[in-house]
Amino acid sequence: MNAPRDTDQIIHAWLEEGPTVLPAPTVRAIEVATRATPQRRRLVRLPWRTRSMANVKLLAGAAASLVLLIGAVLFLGPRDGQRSVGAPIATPSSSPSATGEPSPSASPALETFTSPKYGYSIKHPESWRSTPATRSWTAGQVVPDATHTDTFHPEGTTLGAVVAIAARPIPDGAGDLDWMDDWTRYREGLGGPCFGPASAWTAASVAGVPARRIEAPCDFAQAGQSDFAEYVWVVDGIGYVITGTPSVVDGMVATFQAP
Amino acid sequence: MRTGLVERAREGDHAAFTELIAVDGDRCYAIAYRILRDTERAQDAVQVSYLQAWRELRTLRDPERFGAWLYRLLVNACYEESRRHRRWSVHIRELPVDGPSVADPTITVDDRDALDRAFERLTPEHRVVVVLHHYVGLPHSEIADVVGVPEGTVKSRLHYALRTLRAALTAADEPEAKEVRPA
Repeated sequence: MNAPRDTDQIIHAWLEEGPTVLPAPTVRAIEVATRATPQRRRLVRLPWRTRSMANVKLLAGAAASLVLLIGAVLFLGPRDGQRSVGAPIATPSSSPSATGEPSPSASPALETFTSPKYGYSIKHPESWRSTPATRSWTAGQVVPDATHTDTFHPEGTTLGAVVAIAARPIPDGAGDLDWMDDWTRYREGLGGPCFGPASAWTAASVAGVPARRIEAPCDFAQAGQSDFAEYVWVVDGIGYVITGTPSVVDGMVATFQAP
Repeated sequence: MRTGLVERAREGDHAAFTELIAVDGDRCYAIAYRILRDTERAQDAVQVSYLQAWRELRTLRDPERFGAWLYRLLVNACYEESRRHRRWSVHIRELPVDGPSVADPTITVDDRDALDRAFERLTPEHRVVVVLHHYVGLPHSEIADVVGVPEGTVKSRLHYALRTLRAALTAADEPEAKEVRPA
């Protein structure tokens, strides 16, 4: 006959199992994010539900249909065969290399956005509104959702994004090019109304580092046909993805500056 | 030591805040993992809570209370992760890959499975009190302070949660007993 078991001891032992060391990429992500985040100056009592949490809910609600980042971007694309973004957009770059400033005539009024979450800086048309990410995109989340992305869209539009940017530390030991190739293969596997094969990605550069770029048509039942462009690149162990309307993406990415 | 770091970080000293992460980060991650049972979401919760701490640090009046305050932010982040997870995600149970690989030999596979399932059925509020009391070792009064509920509520949540977990373990024993009985 077995001796009676001490269930509380088992529960205690079970709780002891599991990881106890915060992974280094998470520590690094926190450090990067805090360096880009100002401290609040008001001496107020911390609310039970914080403003950032409210933003998460707000964005999550607004982005209910934005299951994937590219879906978020392209849903605002041209409808009924017309461009409908309704705001000035940068002139497309003539080449996929995005290492120089756009000419003044291409983007006469630009505003610099510094990502509170990821620390990079980028310029967007002055008349566009930016919505910073409220959560960091971590390795466990294969595709960033609306809360992980800094989004940019013209004033007057009601949905989330025309251009979206997210960043995250690449896994320890992964090479920059490997990470980018993994991303293109992931996009290929995603299927759906857009995303071409991994082979459709071309070599490019962003801020002087190697990048991958794709431009492809999409065919959304609700939004009609539209094009999108996407870049992926890595700077100092942080992988970046920008996606959206091609002409705007090309113009913005040319102004990218790492933290 | 920590109080000095908090005071420096409150003045915007990033290096001091980084040291604070070194002091408490592992503990926070271990707690978040045990509440959420998912390494990635635990990392998210820790990240959110530290960012929140950095942003709001100047609102903390007493640097001595940083630990309890950080736990409160962490618990709130875990609540938020749990709610978000339930809304959007399909659950895939994962095996921790970055923790101790040696499992406690006193726990059987059936025990572990029963506890995993029972714990998953608990609300985040119940999970939190179990972890803070039985893993962190906080007394009821401190849990009440961290969670922001009366001490009596902490006790009742703990009682309910433990009863559920014990029942799961007892039930896990029963099929074995049935199996050894002749048909």
